[in-house]
Amino acid sequence: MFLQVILSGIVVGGIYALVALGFVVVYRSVTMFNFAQTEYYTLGGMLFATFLARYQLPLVLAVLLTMVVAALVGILSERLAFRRLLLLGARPANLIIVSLALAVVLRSVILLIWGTDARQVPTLGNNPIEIAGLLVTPQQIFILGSTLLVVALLHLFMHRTRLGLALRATASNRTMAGLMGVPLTSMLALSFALSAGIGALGGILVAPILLAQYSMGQAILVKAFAAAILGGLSNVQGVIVGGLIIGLAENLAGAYLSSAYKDVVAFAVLLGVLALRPSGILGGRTEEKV
Amino acid sequence: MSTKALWASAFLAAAMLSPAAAQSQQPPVLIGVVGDFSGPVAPYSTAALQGAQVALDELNAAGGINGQRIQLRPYDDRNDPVEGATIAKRLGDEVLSVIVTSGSSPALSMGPVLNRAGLPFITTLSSNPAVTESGWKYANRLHLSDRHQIERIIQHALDTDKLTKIAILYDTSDLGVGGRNIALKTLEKRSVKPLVVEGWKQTDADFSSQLIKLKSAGVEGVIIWGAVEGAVRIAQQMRALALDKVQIYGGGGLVSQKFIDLGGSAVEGTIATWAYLDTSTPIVTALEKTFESRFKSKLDIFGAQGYDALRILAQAISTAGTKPSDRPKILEAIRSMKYQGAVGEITFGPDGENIRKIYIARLKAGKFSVLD
Repeated sequence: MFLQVILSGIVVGGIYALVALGFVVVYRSVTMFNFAQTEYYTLGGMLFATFLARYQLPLVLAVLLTMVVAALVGILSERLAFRRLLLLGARPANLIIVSLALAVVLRSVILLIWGTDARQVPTLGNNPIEIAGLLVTPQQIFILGSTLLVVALLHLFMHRTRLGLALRATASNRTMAGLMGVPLTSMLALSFALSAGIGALGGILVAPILLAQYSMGQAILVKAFAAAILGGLSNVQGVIVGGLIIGLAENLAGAYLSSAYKDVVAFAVLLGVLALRPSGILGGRTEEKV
Repeated sequence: MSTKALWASAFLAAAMLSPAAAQSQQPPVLIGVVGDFSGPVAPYSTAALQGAQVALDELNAAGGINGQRIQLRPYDDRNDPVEGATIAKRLGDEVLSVIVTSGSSPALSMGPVLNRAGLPFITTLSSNPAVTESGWKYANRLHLSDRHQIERIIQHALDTDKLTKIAILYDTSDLGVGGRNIALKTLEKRSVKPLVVEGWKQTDADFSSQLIKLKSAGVEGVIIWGAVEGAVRIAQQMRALALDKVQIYGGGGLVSQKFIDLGGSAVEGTIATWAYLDTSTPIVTALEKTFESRFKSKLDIFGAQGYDALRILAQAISTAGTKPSDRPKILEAIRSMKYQGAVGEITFGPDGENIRKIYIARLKAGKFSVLD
């Protein structure tokens, strides 16, 4: 039982990590929280369900199209909601309020388009395979694999490419980066497109197990946010650590105490870790050389 | 009530005056129909109102109540408990008796008000046990209560399926927690100890910790009491943990197209209580024909219960009298009658709960059918 609990904690943690990654991408480039992040995740689930069921698109095409549409919504939200505030250097509190407002707008639009009903999305495989006495489904393996792959690719992108360097420079000092010839507006659009696309991928991956529904983003918001904070925000790999801690804590609590304590324990761990390491587990210096 | 809603009900009431009634000299017998006609449970309330309208025409064509015609007066509570209580306050002065076709929340807010006014009422949609267990003398239910459904499904699991290793999963809403409490009491009476009792929040998506407990406890059957989405997620995740041999038991809420569509092969084999409408009886065949040609929608259990509710009230009023002071006698008549209606043979217990057979259904090849 113990190992099965650990395994399911890892899978849930992987989902949290993937959604948390969206928070980190935006934070890494514009040092702000976008609370609308989990609505891109909802959008991903709903679009994916629609492309598959209504338009009968092949799987790969549906995945790509969903991510592209979500990325466009990301770009649009940056252009309409954040750009002016970001370029004017608005206070962080204002940005947070705007992102909360954006979340409400996106959620309402999703509700208007799709309604309150949950939708079923076909899985890649829900029949468990037994590995060393543990049960794991192809869909779960796919979730974990995708999370690791996306984290790795994003890490390489941030640290090995000129675009990534430009993004990090923008995060570090927007004015200075602009003076050094970084095209600021493109950087802002790029980071929102990336975060929305990754968020949507999260929705695509979990919709087959959890059903696609307008409220799925709200349900995961606090957990994913906690995972991002725990991981340290400034660090892409950190989300894996953060996601795993939250996922494992709540699953162990659910299995050995009661499911009523799942959230309590997960957030107690968050408070505990932040008390000991205020900048998160892998969060280090806030200044960096780019 | 807003002006718009007033106009709407005035219009509806006017539309329901039957031609025979216009000739009558005596004042009509007024029956209120409170329900949600424009909100989330509108389909169910509307079906019941339509069923009552069919009964109304039949009764008036047959001479009404001792020559006095019957008139229905609809009230829209939009499934809002506050609106329901406001409407209920006026009903004592406006109608003789009431059919409540609302969901549980407005039904529960109306209950004490109607009871204080001494208005005999019949609810046709709420399954909440509190309707008949709050000591409201004038309350009657013509639907399945959660208590009877859970007692029935547990009886089926223990006696017919001969299972002893039972788990209870419930969502932490009023419905789920109420269901858990009834299930625990019922199992205790049968001296069966549930191996796992775990809750879930309606927003919860991951059930692995609850389900791993089911697995390590070696559970044979699980009673799932809560919203359809949660039940579907549980069924799907049970499969991922190779728990597909564990029998799923549920309530009438699961017997729906939504459950079948969302759950697919994962919910196959689910056993649930069913507010089943036997369409082979002559009374239902006739009702179905009139109902479907008039309203262009399919007759369901709620339409049939609305139909029966008005016929029961009319029969009770015809023996008791049509004056407001006759209301206690009307109640007495409801409780003492044996009524053969669209939903089968019905009697009401001393608490106002209808006593009838509760069917058990099983999902097989994407379709629920009666098992017992």
